[in-house]
Amino acid sequence: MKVSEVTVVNYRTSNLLSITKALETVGADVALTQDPDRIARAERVVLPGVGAFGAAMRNVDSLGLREALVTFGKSGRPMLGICLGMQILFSVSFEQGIYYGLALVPGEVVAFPKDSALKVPHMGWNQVGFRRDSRLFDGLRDKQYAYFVHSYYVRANKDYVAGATDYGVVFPSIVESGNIFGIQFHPEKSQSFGLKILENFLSV
Amino acid sequence: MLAKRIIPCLDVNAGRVVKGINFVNLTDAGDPVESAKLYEKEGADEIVFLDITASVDNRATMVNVVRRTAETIFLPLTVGGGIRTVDDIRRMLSNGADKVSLNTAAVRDPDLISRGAEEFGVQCIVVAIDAKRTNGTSDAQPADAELIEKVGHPVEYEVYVNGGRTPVGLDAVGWAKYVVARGAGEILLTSIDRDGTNSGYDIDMLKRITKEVNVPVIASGGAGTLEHFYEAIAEGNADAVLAASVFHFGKFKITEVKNYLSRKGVPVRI
Repeated sequence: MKVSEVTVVNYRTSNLLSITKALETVGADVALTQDPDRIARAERVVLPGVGAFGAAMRNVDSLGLREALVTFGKSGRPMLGICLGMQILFSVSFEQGIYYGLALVPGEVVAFPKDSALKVPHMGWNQVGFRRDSRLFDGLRDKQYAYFVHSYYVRANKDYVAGATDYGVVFPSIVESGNIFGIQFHPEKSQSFGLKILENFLSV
Repeated sequence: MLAKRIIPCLDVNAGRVVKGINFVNLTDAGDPVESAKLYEKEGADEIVFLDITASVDNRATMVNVVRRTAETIFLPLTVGGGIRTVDDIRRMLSNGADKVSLNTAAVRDPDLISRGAEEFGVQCIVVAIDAKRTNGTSDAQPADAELIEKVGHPVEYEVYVNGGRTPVGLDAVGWAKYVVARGAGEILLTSIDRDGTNSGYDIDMLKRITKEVNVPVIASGGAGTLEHFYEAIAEGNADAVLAASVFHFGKFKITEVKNYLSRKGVPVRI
C-alpha cells in the first residue's frame, strides 16, 4: 500500500484517537497539527469534529487557522471534513445562534425539525444512498450503513450532494465540491464501509 | 431508515472479561479486546464495556482496555462502571470511548449528567437505569430527599444502584424523564427481575419509559430467544437491544439475531 501523508487538524473539539487510527489502518501517515504553516504545506487535510459549530469556529479563529484552511481548500489539494468538520466547510450555521463557517462550499447548517416523531440527535446506523459518482465510492455498494451522531444537518444545492440519507428529512451525508469532501457520519466508527471511504480519500 | 442496533455487553473485571466465553477462534477468551474484535466481525453495531471492578486502582487498567479496543475496532464504544467525575468521563472519551454510561453516580450526583452533557455533548452521556418491579422499599438507601421529591416515589418500578443491589426510592419512569431533562442522550434500561433469566425483556417497563422520553432507549436484561429481541423492539419500542450471556455462551450469533429481525421487517444493518 502506498503511504499518503495526511494532516489532521486539531482544533480542540474532538477525540482524535479513532480518526488517527482509522487513517493509519488504511495506509496514511498521520500528522496532527494546530499550526497554520503545517496546513499550508500539507498534502491532504482532514478536519475531524465533534461538538458545537460556534465553539469549533471560535477555536479555528483563536488558533489562527481560518485563513490557512480557506487557502488550503481553494488550492485544489484534497480536503475532508467529518461530521462537525464537514459542517464548518459551509457558509453559515444556525446552531445556537448564527455562526459563519469557512464558506468553501455554499450551503447552510440547520437543525432537524423538533416537531417530528424522530429522536434528536440522529444517532445510530443509517443508509447512505449514492446520488452521483464519487471517487469516495470506489469499490462500495449503494445504500450501505454508516454510523451517525448529529443534531444538525447541511442544506446544499444538489450539485454538491454525492450521498444522501433519510431521517425524516433527506439530507446530504456526503458532499463533494472539486477536491473538497464532507462526510456527515463517522467513517472511523463505520467499520469496513467507513474505512473504505477513508482509503478512497487517500487516492483522490 | 435508521437501523435498530444489536449491542453485546462485556463485563470486565481488572482488565479481563468476567463471564466465560464460548467463542471458537478466540485465542484468548479473557481478553476484552479479542472479544470485541470477534463481536465486530459478527456484526455488532456497538460494543458496551461494563467495568465491574470495585477498586479505583484498576481504573487505569480499564482505560487501557478502552484505548486498545478503540485502536483495533472501528465501532462505537460505550464504557460504564465507576465513572464518577467529569474527569473520569474525559479520560474515557479521550482514550477512544464514544459514550460513557453513568449509573450510581447519576443518582448520587445528578449534576454530573448536566456537566458531562455541557462539556462533551448529550450524545456522549448514557444513563444506565437498573430497575425492579417494586414490592415496597423498606430496605432502601434513599437518594437525596429533594431528588425523590422531583422524581417521585416508585409507582411500579424502582431504581437500584450499586450493580442492582441497592434500592434508592426513586420511580424508574420519573427518573428516566428527569435524567433526559438533565442532559442524558440515551438510556440503557436494565430489568433486574429479568437479568440473567433468559425469560425475555421487561416489555411493560420498556413501553412505559419509551413513551415518556425522546432519546434512544436500549433494552437490557432477559434476552433468551430470538423472539425476545423482536418483542423489545416491536412492542417495547426499544431503539437498541443489548445482551450478554446469549452472545457470550454462543447461543446465538449476532448475525442470526439480525437475520431474524430483518425477516420480521425490522431495519437492521446487515
